[in-house]
Amino acid sequence: MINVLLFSIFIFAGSGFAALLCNRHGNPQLPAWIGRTGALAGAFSGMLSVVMRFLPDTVPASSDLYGIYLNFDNLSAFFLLPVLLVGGAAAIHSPAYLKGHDHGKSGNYWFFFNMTLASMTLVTLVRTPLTFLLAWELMGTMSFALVAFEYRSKLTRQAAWIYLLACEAGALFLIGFFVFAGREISPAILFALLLIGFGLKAGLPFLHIWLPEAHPAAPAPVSAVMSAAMIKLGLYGVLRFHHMINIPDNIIGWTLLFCGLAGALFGIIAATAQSNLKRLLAYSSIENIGIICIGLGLGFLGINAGNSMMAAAGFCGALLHLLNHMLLKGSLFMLAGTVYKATGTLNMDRMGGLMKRMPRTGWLFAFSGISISGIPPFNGFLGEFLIYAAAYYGIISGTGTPVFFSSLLTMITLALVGGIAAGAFSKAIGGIFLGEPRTREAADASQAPLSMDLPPFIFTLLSLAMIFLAGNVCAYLIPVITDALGVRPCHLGVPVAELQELLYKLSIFALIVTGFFVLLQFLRSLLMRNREVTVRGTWDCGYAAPDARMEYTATAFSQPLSDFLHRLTGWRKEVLPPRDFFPKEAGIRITTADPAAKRFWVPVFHAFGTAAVKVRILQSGLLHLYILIMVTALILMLFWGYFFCGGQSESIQKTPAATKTVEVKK
Amino acid sequence: MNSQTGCWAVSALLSLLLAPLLPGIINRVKAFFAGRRGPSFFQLYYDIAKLLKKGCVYSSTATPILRLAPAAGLAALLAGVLLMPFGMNSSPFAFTGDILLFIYLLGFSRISGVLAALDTGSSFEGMGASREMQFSALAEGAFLAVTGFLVILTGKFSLTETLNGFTFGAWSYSGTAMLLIAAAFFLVMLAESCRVPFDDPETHLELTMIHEAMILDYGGPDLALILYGASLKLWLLASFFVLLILPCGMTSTWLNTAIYFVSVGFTAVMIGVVESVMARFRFLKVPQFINAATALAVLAIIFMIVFGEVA
Repeated sequence: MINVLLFSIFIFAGSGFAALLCNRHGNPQLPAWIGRTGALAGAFSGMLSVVMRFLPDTVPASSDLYGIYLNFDNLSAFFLLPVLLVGGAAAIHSPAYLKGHDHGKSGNYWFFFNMTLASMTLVTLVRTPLTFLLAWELMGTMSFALVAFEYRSKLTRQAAWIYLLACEAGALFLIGFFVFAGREISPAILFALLLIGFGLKAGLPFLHIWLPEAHPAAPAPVSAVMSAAMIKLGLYGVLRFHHMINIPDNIIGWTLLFCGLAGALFGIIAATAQSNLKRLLAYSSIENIGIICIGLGLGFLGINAGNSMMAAAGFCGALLHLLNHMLLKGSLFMLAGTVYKATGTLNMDRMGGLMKRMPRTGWLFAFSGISISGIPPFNGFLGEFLIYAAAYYGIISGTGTPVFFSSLLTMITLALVGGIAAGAFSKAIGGIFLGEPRTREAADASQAPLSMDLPPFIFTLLSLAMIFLAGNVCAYLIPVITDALGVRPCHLGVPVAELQELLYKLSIFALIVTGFFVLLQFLRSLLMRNREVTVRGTWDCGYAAPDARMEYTATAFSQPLSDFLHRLTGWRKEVLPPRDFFPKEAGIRITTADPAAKRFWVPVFHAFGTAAVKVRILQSGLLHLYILIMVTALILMLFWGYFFCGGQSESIQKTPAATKTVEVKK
Repeated sequence: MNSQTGCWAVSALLSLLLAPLLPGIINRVKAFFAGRRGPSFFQLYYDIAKLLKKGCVYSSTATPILRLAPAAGLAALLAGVLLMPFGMNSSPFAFTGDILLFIYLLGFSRISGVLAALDTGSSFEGMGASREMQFSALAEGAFLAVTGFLVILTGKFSLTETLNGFTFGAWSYSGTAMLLIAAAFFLVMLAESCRVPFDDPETHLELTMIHEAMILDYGGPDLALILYGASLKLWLLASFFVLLILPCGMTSTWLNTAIYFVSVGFTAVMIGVVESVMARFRFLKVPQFINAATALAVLAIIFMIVFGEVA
């Protein structure tokens, strides 16, 4: 099994290099063909081993490849699934998207794309700190190149720069974590290092600032891979490596829960205010990662309290939501790319009326948009439902306890998040696809090539299947949860069976709603037989010449909410009123600066910059000064080694012993 | 059990039939306060019957969404009907967590209306849709807070078991909390069903409407479906309100059922009285008012925890 995976990593990397080599030679189609075929072949062979992993009676596969310890258990397989599925789909979507964007150098794109897939696959396989960090870093830098793919635009360069900073800062924290794990350092600090390091990738609130910058800048298929697969690897990291520190479950639970609550609420509120489609989707990813974290947090709290129903509902809800989010957000980002190719803009206020011009894209987007807001007959609701159920089991487990209060808070917050998400996505659907086109570009848009709509179509089919198979999927989640929990005792069989019952009931209700809908539509068509049906212009309350400029734009649609919560959305309106007796121009500009970036990160980096300028005195160009600095540093290091090494030698002796005990446990 | 199910089925069918009566009652009460005679109780039936006989006019801007939305919205509400324990009888479809499905089905019916409104490209309908989404997002939080209260009160998580799961004792040992929660849900009900003080269905200016502004471009059977759907939603919310206040007390199921129907009618009268004595709020005030509902519900929960005996 693991050999198959190594084979697919080899295909990814090999086809990437081959595409890069072909770049030089005349035919621009060749690298694209090699790259896409390689990505698809690698994804397919990888999927085989993922499927095999979930078949019953398989033992965890591990392998020792030239001293690199690889292990492929259910947790790895679960997080590998989005990587391969979305990676393959994005590979189908890419060629049509890149047409006209790649300046005849599609080989560059495919090299970095396939290397990103290879490194993400590797991240789920390697276990030892050093190799993990290498794979992690490879993933960061390769995807950085993808974000910076359209480097000719200044905004893209800036976004890529922010992304690189976030990646490197995350890696720094992770190095800290791996270096100090197992030493005598307070587990709280270690846990903070772990959470910040992986949270920077996952987009936990406050650490999220790269998402709304990098997603709009990157090519759409890349955003799809990053949002649907890569940010989830951050959560994988937390689940995989929290075993290395000795920290009680309730601390993990509380932290994840509150990060999740804050992320979900902030993410969706900020999403509502955006007028850039991909920024909206990026903030919505922050929201969904938040929801997943809420589920995980409740799960850990359930484990801690010995409440197996709560634990099962929390973990299953989180993982189910992760799968649904992968399908829906992967689809939405690719559709956003299709829309971008058709209209040349991502500003929703400059679109409109695309449903008539590109109906395939429109219907797929409408489905995914409604579903991801957690509206019942669709699959986005299922994971949230289980997380609500976890909160319910938390509430009834005991009144007045902390678990009780946080479960209650979860319930109310999730409801708010669901309501606002419905607003955010009806804004997107309405602003882009409904009404009349607001610009010439939107009016001239036409149906995209089939290859761009095919991957979202497949994802939509899978989403529909998910509505009816969610119960079965839950059964396969048990080994994943067991792997994530490690040695902790948990008996999830019975609770999961109970949750399955609930999910089947939801499937039945999906059928009932569909049945009622078909029935009503049938009755309606019976009634409408031989009736007069007229098609006229929209009745605009008696106004004779309605114009697309009178329409409610996407920004106008969300204005009440974004203005009401302007502290969280950073929503600011600047009006340029008409001046003088013969006004020439007037206008309005609405900005939504990320509050965390504006209030915290920008000042922090500003301070760093100022400090760096001060340090520049050292860089005087005088050789004497440089030698003096080096000698001083050497002397200081000598002193440090001499006075503080007593503790060091002890800890050096300790480290192998610590690793040994871990091995014994395994 | 069997007689309960039969009783539920009868009440559910009766509810489906009687739903359009509620707006009639409300309008009659308002007319009474204004010193008018007012339209017939059955006005909405007449309206629906007339609309069903007509043809349709569609906007040339619209896509099939406009034509699919009324049926989709009503289908979600009908699925919600299956979960409601009408007449204090257990719904045979009840399951743990169905209260969420119920709330979110209302959300589905709402979003189909909102998309249809945006589909016409009319500025008024866009305005209505925008306001609907803002208010309902906040109202959903309040609704779930009320749900949280019920979960604490009964320890159950389905509409049937929560709404029928407490006795008169609840009012005696935590009367204040029950009163607060009733007030909170009353506000949620008014907000969700687009009544005064959140929305005025009878204003003559499209700029100031929410729900009515969203359906400006509908006519014929489609409008009939929407009007019926709106009255059914009001009936469902009124049922929730009645069952939230009244414990399932009587020994005879038929007596319970009778009390339920009378109480739903009385709720409509209450809504009529509120609409008569109040004006619609400024739109900027509305979110604060809905947040007040959430606050009331949370306060009720706190009272419940501190003073009440919890199941």
